[in-house]
Amino acid sequence: MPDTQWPSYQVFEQPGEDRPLIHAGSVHASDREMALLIARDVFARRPERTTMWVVRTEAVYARTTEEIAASAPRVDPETDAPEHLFHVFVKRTHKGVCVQVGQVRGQTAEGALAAALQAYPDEGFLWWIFPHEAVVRSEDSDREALYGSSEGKDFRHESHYPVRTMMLELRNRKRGGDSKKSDQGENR
Amino acid sequence: MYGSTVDEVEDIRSDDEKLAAFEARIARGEKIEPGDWMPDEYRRQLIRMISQHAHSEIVGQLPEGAWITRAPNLRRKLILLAKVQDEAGHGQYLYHAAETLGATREEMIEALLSGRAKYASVFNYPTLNWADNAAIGYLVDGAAILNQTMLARCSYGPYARAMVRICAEESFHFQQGKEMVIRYSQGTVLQRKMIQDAINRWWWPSMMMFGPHDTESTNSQVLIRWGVKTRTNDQLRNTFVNQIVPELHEMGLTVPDPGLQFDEDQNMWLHGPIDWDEFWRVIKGDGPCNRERLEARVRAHEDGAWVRAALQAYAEKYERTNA
Repeated sequence: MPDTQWPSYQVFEQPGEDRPLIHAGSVHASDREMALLIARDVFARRPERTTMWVVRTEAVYARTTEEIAASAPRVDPETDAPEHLFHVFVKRTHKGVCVQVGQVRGQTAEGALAAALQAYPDEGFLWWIFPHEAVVRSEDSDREALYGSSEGKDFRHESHYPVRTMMLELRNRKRGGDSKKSDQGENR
Repeated sequence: MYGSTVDEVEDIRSDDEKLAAFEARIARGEKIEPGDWMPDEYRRQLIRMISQHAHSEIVGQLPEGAWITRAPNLRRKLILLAKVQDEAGHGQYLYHAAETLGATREEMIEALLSGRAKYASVFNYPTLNWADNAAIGYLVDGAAILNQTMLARCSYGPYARAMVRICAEESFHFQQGKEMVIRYSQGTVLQRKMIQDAINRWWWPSMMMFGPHDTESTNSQVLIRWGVKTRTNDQLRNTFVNQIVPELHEMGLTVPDPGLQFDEDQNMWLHGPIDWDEFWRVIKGDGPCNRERLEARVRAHEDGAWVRAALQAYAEKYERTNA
């Protein structure tokens, strides 16, 4: 097996309970479980009790609104073919990323997009559709395993370092004419 | 991803019209996103910048990584581990951003391991003692933050967004470095000497992080025109000098620049001449640690082969049993 960087997965994170998921970026991983773990390592080092989703990049059906205007997605035919649940994400602002808007049912991704355009008549720039089966998500019961080791590590935050106070004290000491420096080095 | 009809929908505009529309978008402050039309040169410059930035984060773990096993106490060890973990994550954000432009992960990793890829020359210097970690956090990350804060406004969406994440995390790297510099400077005679020596060795490499002088910088013009950079190398470098020099002086430390002087008219510090011969020598591979850094990366890749093989075997087994 040649040394490759493995399949690519798109990563989504949920910034809080009941908030829509947002696109965080992508990772390469050997399988679904590693994709979730690597996504945690890359995107969630600070204690973030969020849900994470990873989706194989090749499972994402993407169309821009320009492409849709030039060539509308075909509606699924009215048959007895089974319908699947599809997730719908839209990029709404120029500076933003794809954000979750909801779900639709459809036989194909293209048909799901047609349904999404009806259900969510948003002015978005870019639509992403992917089937629910393609989603690997972290469960609530995974939170301790995923985020537990980050808890309490205040030293990861800049506010943990009292440099402003230290510089003020330094200036005050100098102004007070006290040029004596401590002989006990701080062994910290 | 699939579903794009961009090849079926003909864009009948001429290249000139496309370029004018692209530049108008940039002038309006719009972000260029993956899949948008962009000049080849814009794509090429960004792939170059972003991949070099990613490689810098990965190689940047090495000078500090050497001290994880030799930290003065557990707290400093945990802080250093957290910093190095962040740098690995930052490299990943940036490789991802470069991939959105069409670079492949395989090409970028191969370029790094073969020695072809460039990365910030500052990481080709050795860390001689713990005080170097303080100097690196304060000077190197301080310089990086100035550069990255500017790049957070860049016109290419994925790069700008990666910068926002990186800046939020990098601020802790800077503060932990500054805290240590202050403590060293207010410590014993030996500690003050140690930190002054570290500052003396890391000052010029940090100053060179901002790149060549504007007059020598061949890439800057087009990068500014297309909103990738919004400030020049010299502007950022002067901001750095004027932020750091007064603070060092307050701590009773100096910078190793005999040409440093305060200009009363402009009310700012001006630095002395930079030794660009050294800069070019180090960039071209003749710095103190270039070979060592490359060997460390290759060794990490080779030593880690069994992990990749194990993950691959597990993935195949899992697929087989769940088929």
